Amino acid sequence: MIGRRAILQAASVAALLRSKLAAADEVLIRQGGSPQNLSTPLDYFDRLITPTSVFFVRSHFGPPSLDRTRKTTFDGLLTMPLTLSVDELRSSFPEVTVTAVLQCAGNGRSFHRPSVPGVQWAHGAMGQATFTGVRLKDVLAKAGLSKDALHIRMSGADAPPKPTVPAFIRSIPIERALDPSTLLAYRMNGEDLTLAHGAPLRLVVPGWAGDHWVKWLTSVHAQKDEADGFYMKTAYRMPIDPVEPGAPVPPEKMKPASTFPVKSIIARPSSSKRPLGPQEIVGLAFSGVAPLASVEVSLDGGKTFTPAKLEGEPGVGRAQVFRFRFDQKTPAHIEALARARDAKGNVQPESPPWNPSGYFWNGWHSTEFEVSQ
Amino acid sequence: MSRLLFSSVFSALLLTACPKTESTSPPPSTDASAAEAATPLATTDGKSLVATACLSCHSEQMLAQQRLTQAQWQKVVTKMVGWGANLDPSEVAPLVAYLSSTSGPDAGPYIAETIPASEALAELAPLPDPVPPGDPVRGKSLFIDKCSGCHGQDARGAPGALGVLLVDRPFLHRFADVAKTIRKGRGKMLPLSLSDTEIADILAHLRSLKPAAPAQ
Ligand code: HEC
Ligand code: HEC
Repeated sequence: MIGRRAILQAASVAALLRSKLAAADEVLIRQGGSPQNLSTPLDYFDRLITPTSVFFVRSHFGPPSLDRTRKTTFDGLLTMPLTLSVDELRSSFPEVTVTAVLQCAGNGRSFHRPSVPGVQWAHGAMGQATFTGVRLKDVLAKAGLSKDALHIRMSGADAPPKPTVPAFIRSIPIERALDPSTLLAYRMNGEDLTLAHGAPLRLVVPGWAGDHWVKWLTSVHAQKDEADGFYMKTAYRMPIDPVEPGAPVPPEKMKPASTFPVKSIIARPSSSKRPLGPQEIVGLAFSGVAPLASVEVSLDGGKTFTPAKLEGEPGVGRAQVFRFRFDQKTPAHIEALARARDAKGNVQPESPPWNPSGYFWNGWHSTEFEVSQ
Repeated sequence: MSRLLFSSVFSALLLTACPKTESTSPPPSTDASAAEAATPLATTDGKSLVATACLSCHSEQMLAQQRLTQAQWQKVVTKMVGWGANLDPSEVAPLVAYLSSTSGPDAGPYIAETIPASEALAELAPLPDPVPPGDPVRGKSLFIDKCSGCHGQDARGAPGALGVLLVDRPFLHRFADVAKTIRKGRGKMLPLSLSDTEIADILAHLRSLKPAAPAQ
């Protein structure tokens, strides 16, 4: 007999192999039209790989036109600046694939109180995919990275709609740029990147929030200082110490938002009514700081927790599926909640501290359903 | 505990509603001043102000999903004017009043629509032109004559100009979308009656323009 898990795995492999065209019944949640901001429904967080067709999309200005021959320039503090297309990158450097969570820093913003401006994501600005490309460190080494380079600044081909809008520019510290998991990726889930996901080339920075994963990458610049500009110095910053909800935070009390905190999300059951008998709580959990250590489920509102089973490989910024089974013999109203813990001892809080831009919501996620005859 | 309760009601809502809808429902606040400021007149004014000032760079969902106080809306509108929203100084107060009344903290849950994943892909996909390729030279002079006053000589917009970037954007490969914008107008762009050939010429010119140099 084929086990349930085998069926599930087969199902996710099938999803992976599905052609680029999305299946008729697949949906995304519209948070923004033009440019697209699209959220993944919770139902898809019951598996290790989120299908590309329903993978969340985040855009500041919207994509440039699709041009798979678009080149990326590597310059700044390099002895041999390079300008390379995806084909040239592929033929010059070893190809690497990583499995990693891509999550928007603002995922869960709608849960922060008081409410803060920005795309009002619920849970769906996240997903896990395989990303294939070349290591940023290999390219920087070939280009002769100078010892004086302490930051790598990136920008993409998505120019602001008006010249008065600040350009989207990000930088990452050199240690992060040289980490072997930092990729210049051209494939996602085994297929060429789609335009919405950054084709032809995007950065992949496992464990770090999505704003670092610059799409439509055209410029990689080695420099001494952290990048300037609105999207570095004003946006994507968090209070160093927790602040009173709603309180203004002076700029010097803010630090860049980089790694995302430990979190779990329940995907199933996805219906509000269940028959008596075996029940299963399934979801996805990860931490951007360390590999996952455990996920526990509580059926009594958070008084007691029992460990769930984990599937998939642990890793920094890598999601695992958790599965918690129990038998419900009598009719009952069930409220299940999940709490994740990472290998550095960080525990998912009941609700995280408020911050002015509403980043990194990782409060306990729960689900309720009726079990009856 | 109230947070937990809230988030569980919330996730139940999401789970049962999924994949149909995803809603965000802030708890009620006591800030009623915004709602009082709204009169039917302000609503009509507000709607047209949104249409002319706020939809050049993002769609209306960006506004509708917010649940902000009047003070927060004031800040957002000030920021957007700084970024180039086509709004006169005298229009700021009525717009802020309108937004605070329609998307204030008490506006109730925001229900985001769901769309087929295939539609999301299709929105960005290039489409074959319905007419033969245009002439970029004729297109350039047409552009300078009819469009550059608002979109800038190089079609990249200009500080203080009404129009937006028209270089290296997916809609340049979607003839029907551009034709509709030109013939129906949009925001502060007035309708222009141009033939298919003229539009093809303008598109040939716009497609020939080099993408912006990487931002520094
Ligand atoms: C010139 C382009 C432009 C115009 C016009 C514009 N916006 Fe924006 N707006 C942006 C950009 C860019 C963002 C950031 C987008 C992102 O990060 O997704 C943004 C974001 C927002 C947000 C989210 C909160 C934030 O601060 O990021 C709100 C709300 C908003 N705009 C409201 C408005 C309103 C109201 C108007 C009309 C007065 C307006 N916008 C006009 C460019 C514009
Ligand atoms: C009176 C000023 C004005 C003129 C003249 C004008 N435009 Fe526009 N155009 C605008 C504004 C303003 C917008 C942004 C619309 C909005 O706010 O929703 C716009 C938007 C557009 C868009 C849509 C961009 C998008 O994001 O989808 C296209 C395409 C466009 N213009 C093409 C043209 C062309 C081609 C011409 C000449 C035939 C032209 N425009 C002439 C002001 C103008």
